Amino acid sequence: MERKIKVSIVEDQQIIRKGIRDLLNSSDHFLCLADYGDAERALDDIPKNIPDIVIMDIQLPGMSGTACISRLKTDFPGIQFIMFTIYENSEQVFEAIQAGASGYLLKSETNEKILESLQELYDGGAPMNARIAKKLVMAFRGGEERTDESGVESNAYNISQRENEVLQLLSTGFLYKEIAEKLHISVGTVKQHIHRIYDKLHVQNRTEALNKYFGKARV
Amino acid sequence: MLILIRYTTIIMVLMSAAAAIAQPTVKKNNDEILINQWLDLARDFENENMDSAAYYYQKGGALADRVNSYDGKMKYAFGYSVVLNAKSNFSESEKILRQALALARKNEDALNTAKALVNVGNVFNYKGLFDSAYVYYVEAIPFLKKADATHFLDILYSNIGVLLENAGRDEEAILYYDKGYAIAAELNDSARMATVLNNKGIVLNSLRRLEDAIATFKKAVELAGEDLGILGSAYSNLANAYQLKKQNEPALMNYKKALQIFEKLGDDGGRGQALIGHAIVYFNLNNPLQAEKFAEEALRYLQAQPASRLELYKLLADIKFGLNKHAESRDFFSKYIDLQKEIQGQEIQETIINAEKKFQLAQKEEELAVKELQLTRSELNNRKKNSYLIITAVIILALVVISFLFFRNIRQRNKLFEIERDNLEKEKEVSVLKANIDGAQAERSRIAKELHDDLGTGLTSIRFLAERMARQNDPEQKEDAGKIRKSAQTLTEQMNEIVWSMNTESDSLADLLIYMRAKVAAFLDENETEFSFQVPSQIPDKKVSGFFRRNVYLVVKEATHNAVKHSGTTRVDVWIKTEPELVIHIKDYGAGMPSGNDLNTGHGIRNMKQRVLALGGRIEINQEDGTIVTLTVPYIET
Repeated sequence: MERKIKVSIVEDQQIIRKGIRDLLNSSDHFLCLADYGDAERALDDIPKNIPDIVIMDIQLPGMSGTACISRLKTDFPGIQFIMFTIYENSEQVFEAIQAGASGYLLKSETNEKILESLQELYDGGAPMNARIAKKLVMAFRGGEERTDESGVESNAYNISQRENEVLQLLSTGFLYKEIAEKLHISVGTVKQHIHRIYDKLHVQNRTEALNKYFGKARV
Repeated sequence: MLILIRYTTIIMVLMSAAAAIAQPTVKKNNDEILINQWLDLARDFENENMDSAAYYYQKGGALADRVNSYDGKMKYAFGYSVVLNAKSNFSESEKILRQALALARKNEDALNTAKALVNVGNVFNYKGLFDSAYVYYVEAIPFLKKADATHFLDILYSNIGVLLENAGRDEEAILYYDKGYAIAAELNDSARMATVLNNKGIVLNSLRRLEDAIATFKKAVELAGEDLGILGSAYSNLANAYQLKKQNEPALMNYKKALQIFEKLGDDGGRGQALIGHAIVYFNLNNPLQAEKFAEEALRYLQAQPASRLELYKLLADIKFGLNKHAESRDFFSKYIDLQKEIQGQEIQETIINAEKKFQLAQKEEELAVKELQLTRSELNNRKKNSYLIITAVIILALVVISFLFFRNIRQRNKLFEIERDNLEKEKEVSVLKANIDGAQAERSRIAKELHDDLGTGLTSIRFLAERMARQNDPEQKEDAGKIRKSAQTLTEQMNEIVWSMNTESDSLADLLIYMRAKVAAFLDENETEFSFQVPSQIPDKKVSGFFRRNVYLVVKEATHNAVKHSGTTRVDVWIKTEPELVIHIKDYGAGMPSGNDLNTGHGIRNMKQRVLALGGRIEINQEDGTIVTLTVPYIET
């Protein structure tokens, strides 16, 4: 029997939490490792019970989901965090992505779609929407400017040409399928590009965090 | 700097205005005209009424003095001195003429200096002070030449001739008369020519060159023409020449003509002379009675002329003696002797007086020089004072102007300040109001967000509860649970759209088109419908309201849903134009719109129309190889 994907949930609404747990456990591919009612408990327990994926509610009583990800991602870069949100609130989602999340999952999605998204994430894909892509484009552009000033030619996030193309198309509302057709690649490759974009964003953030900690100047 | 220039300009303008006030040229011109009128009137009266003439001369002179008119003063002096001379008020005449002379010299006016010199000379001439007269006349010659006024030179030469004649220098006198005559002839002035000839003839008479004298006087008579004074003298002189030549008839005839003219002119001296002439001729003709009659008549007119009287006394003594009126003859003879003595004494006295006068004159001239010096000094002082006054006035003016401008500036600044303050207050009010509105907006947004969050959470909870229910084995319950779950999901989706439209951060046309594209594409993809989007590569940077975004998005969503759900199409094309209005075409290749009876589409189309109308736009639905829905929406400035 193949290895099940271990998923932990941080969600304050007990019904929803239980609903997701049931959904995961009812699937052959997923295992609900743990579920937490708040970020504090998650922060405390996750180092002891390390999952593959954490489904993180954005709005939590006390510590926010974003803050929780920020803490855990540094120590456990292998964990994939996915934001669980009712609305596509780009600001909060974007903040979470910057903090270490690899996309978001709408609570209104169908069960099939939820499981599909989790599988995708585990396989190296990443869910993203146009508005978040746009924000990322702007963030990377800002990064480019920063490196221009310091005289370094490659952009700060080391975003490749192809990754940039994907991001640009995403930001103008293209679907993965459309991007794949346009760039003559598979939808899976598009997803991998996006995943790598997330990773690069997070690596960048971790470097910054480390440098902050050691007080060392970045190149 | 600019302000300084402005101030300076203003001061200059004010100064020039002040200068214009200080020189009332118009008024001065009026005064000049008045002076001229009065002086001309006076000259017109000279021949008719000396008192009237004197009155107008004084009037004109006073005005000339008051307004300090140079021309007026000159004209007055020369004119009025003639009247004073006629009234034998020589000292007053001399005084006026000396003042005119000083003034003309000061102004370096050659012509008027010459005129004044000639006129002063005339006064001395009238007073019998021929030496002095001669000096003045000769002094006048270079000034007349300098002034290029040769037209007066004939008179001057004539006068010098008279003086030379009186000094016994008859030949020299004739030379001057000839010079004078030549100039008068050049000027073609017959009256002056006649005058010169009269004078010349008298010299010839006294030289006993009687033939020449008669010819000269005859010519004078011809030239005198209308000038009765000259004509009378000419006749009188001609008669004298004839009488001296013992040609009694022509002598008597000419005396008669002279007498008639002098009577007409009321010239007592001339009359007396003519009467003496008559008496002499009758005496020569041995008609002592006629002679006595004319001589006694002459006596009445010659009271004021001692020289003529002297001659007359001697004649009367002779006549009376011829008439055997010895007592009367002796009486006249003694009168003759007394007068002769008197005249001689007078001459001596006059010489003394003359000497004294010359001394006084010198003294006076010195005094005048001193006075002039003082005047110059005080004038200089005055000028200095005036310049101080002007400078002070200018400074005061400048200060007034500057302080006025300053005051105005302050007032303007105050005004500006007030306006600024008002503006600030208004701004404050507006910002308070805005803050209130913003606050209210923020509060509303917060409430809405909370509501949405609660609703969303609630709907999600319902959805998971429904799923749990669905796991029950009751198929009916399962179906209900499915419906609940579906409703909750749809509601959450709609909530999502509402939240998006309410998010002010998404208030841009680009955001709308991207969101719409992503959503519509996802929908079409899910429904296995092929699609294409044509969106301009450059989307204009336009701000659009949530209301706008929501309605446009929902219309497009409705149109695509209709196409997919009802037309049976396998493809939808969407193309978008962003300028000048937002135009979106949605084309399907289905069977076309079912007849309006379809409840869903009917409702959907009405809904779309309402939404587009709410945006001030329009929607067209055309059937052409499928259906094309075109919505056109203007941008409304927000």
